Amino acid sequence: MLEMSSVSACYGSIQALWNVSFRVDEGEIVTLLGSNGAGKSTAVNVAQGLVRPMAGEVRFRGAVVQRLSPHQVVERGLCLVPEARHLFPRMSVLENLELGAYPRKARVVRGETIEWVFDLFPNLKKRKKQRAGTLSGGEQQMVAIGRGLMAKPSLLMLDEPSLGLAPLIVAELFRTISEINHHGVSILLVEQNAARALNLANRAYVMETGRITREGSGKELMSDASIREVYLGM
Amino acid sequence: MSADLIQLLVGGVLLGGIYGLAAFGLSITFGVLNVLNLAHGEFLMLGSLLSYGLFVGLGINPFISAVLVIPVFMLLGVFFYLLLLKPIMDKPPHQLLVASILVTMGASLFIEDVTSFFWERPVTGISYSLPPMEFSGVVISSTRLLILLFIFALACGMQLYLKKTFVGKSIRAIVQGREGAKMVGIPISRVSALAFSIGMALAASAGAFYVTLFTVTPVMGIPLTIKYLCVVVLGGLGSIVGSVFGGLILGIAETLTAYYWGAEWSPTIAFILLIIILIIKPEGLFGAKK
Amino acid sequence: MKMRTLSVCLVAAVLLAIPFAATGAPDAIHIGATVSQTGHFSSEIGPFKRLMNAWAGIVNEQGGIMVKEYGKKLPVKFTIYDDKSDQATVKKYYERLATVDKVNLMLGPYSSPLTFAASTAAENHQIPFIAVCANSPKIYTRGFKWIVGVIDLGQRYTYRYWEMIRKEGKAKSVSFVVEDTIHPLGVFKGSKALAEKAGLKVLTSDVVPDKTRDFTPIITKLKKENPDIIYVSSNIPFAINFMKQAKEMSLNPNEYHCIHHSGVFRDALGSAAEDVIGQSYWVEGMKLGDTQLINDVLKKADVSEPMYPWSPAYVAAFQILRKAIEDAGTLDNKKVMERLKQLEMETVLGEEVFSDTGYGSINTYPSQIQDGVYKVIYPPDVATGKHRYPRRPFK
Repeated sequence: MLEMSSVSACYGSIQALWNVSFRVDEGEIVTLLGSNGAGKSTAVNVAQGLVRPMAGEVRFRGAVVQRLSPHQVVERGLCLVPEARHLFPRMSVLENLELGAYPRKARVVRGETIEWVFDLFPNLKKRKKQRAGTLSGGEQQMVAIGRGLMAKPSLLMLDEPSLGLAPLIVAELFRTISEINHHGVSILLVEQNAARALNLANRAYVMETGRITREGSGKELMSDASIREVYLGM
Repeated sequence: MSADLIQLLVGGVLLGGIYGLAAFGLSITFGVLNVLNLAHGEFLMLGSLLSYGLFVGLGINPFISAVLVIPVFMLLGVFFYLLLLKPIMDKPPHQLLVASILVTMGASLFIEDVTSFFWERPVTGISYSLPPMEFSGVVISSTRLLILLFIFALACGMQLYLKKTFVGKSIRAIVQGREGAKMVGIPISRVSALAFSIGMALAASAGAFYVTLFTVTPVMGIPLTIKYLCVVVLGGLGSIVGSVFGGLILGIAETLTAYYWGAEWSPTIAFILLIIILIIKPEGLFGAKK
Repeated sequence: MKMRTLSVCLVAAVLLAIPFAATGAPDAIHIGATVSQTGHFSSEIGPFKRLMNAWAGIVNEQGGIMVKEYGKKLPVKFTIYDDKSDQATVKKYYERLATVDKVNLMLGPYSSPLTFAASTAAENHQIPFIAVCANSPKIYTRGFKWIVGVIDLGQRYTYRYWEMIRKEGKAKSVSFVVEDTIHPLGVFKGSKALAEKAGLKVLTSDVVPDKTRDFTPIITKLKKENPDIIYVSSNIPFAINFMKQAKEMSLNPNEYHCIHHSGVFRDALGSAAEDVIGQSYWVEGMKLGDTQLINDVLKKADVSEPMYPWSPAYVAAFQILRKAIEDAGTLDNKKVMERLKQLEMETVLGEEVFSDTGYGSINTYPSQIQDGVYKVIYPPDVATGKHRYPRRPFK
């Protein structure tokens, strides 16, 4: 469904991606592992249309998308929940979610989608009138993911969703991601928390300094000795 | 309180209302696009000329013109945006600010030159006036009062639009989180064009009123823009309520200063107020801490 | 036979020589000027290029101006640039008129500051310069030898008005509202002295920045002071703003005097301009000077006097330059300048004679807007209407 082929791109004036290729198939959960500065965020930004690649191609459902503007990419069903979340701080939880459904086809079913989001995140339902800027880190992450879902994406990209969250919340988060996937949304998960990510994912890629260095199923990489040492601290 | 002081405060509020109306168009533009639009005053001037033309040519009441100019200038605003601003919108914030100043300044000068060329008699004023109202020695200009009421109505209308409608909220979303707005599927370019054209239409609407009170010349745009910038910064960038209050404060300050110290001090008081506010609360009276 | 051939040749030679003798003459009398077609002075003289060319047309229809030196009439030709109401531009163009266009004579631009700048080129290149719309004393204190001015100095700009007020003896107090620019300040200073000499008490004098738009504070003060006369010394845009707000705030003294109150003022204010007194050089119906010439030039140029009250001053300037050239009998700069300085003539605006330093003797008359028409109200021998005092309050 999502296919990056030989993409090279810059982050500012520094080249961040060198000939990167990966794919996410329908129904999958794929995770992109790597340490800070490996280029993972740049990769999803390119997919979303926030960064234009210097070389290579990005295809979503067969169509070439690397030259589209971000809102056009969202319309096609590819949505990014960014690392910094970028919520609208002075608007309520409900308003943030509503704005997530800007594309026409998402707006029509907005009511239903909001119900679903509140099912996934019951805490949010309680706080729906509260200003997003006043929520805790975990709650903000839930709003960010919920907002991403409002656009009715077929593929949801999550950039480091567990960053800064307490372990209990992280566990809850990954359970929810799994549930979202069961609802038919494919997932591309960018993570530093390798253990949980590999556990959840069907397939995984490892990125180092802007290049893909390993590829394999979740289980394969979990049992790989070098991966265990570097990313799992074992 | 002496009758004089009341008269002055009333005068100041009425004057401030006009400042507020013109300023909040500017506030929206800066808040949504991060663009400093120096051509703002030109749209006010063009609105004045259109209102004048409609009055002299067709006998149309300027209060009606103030509404008529809105769609006309929204259209013009969209063209202006597409032609001049869209090409520079993707630049990083610092570059964008500088580029927007240069581009809009160039546009101002162009508009002023072309207008001067076609407008043989630059001193334009409308002989429309309403009899004033008097309450125990205090005279209230009816025209200005009506303008103030209209401005409040417009400000409330804008607030409702921004707070309650979906498009209005998407404008606010861009102000509060541009990156987030992109990722959520808001077409930044389209919404920015809309916000910009609203800002310009409000400026033109203010112009339609302006010409009933003051004379209009093709070159009045730039000094006015600078004054309205003060009002906007005073009230808080991106806050509509702020710019209305900023306008009122400036109006009152200028009026009181002129009376008690002398008319020469009025222009200075704007800058003094600005400096005071920027020291005490840099984001402006109603601005949000970034 | 040979003698006859020789005579024929001699006659032929003489006949051939005659046209060459007459070829000393230039093809026209070349006059240079700038007009503020754009910029903030364009409301005063914007279309005056037409005015100058109209007069040239009328004169040339009769063959032109007689220049004895060449034994014939020479047509008049104007070269006119747009000074954009700007000093730097004015300087540039007057230099150009002197060095590139090489004009015989120059007419000044609108306003004292621009005239101040323009006259330097004339002085440097020794070209006769006639200032028209300028009356600041500063222009005439530089010891320049190549300048005369049609109108009298600014201080005396409204002296006839104060004469009238004194004679009538009705008004007792006056307040001044002054625009802080050269010309209005000059007129104010002179008027203040004249008002005091006429026996009036000066209650307040407010000198206000020229860009002032809001007059609420001043009007509040004036309501309290309640003078008989409110005298607004300013250019038109300032006066329009003031009067509009005076009406808004029901400020009703016995008289308003706005020194410049031409058609632009009247049209922008509508009924608020009624009974306002200002200064005019000439109005329709005045028993003064060769009104036919003024009418002809204005009609041909399609310029309306109420809208452009400086037009008669230019007509006077045309008369002056014509007489100077006719008297001099030559286009030689020095001789023309001599003649200009010694000139004494009856122009369309009255008697003109120049002082030692160059300023003229022509001055304005108080004129009141009555039912939308400008009437000169003093002195009685040239007046076209009666002074209405006190004025009708704003309705």
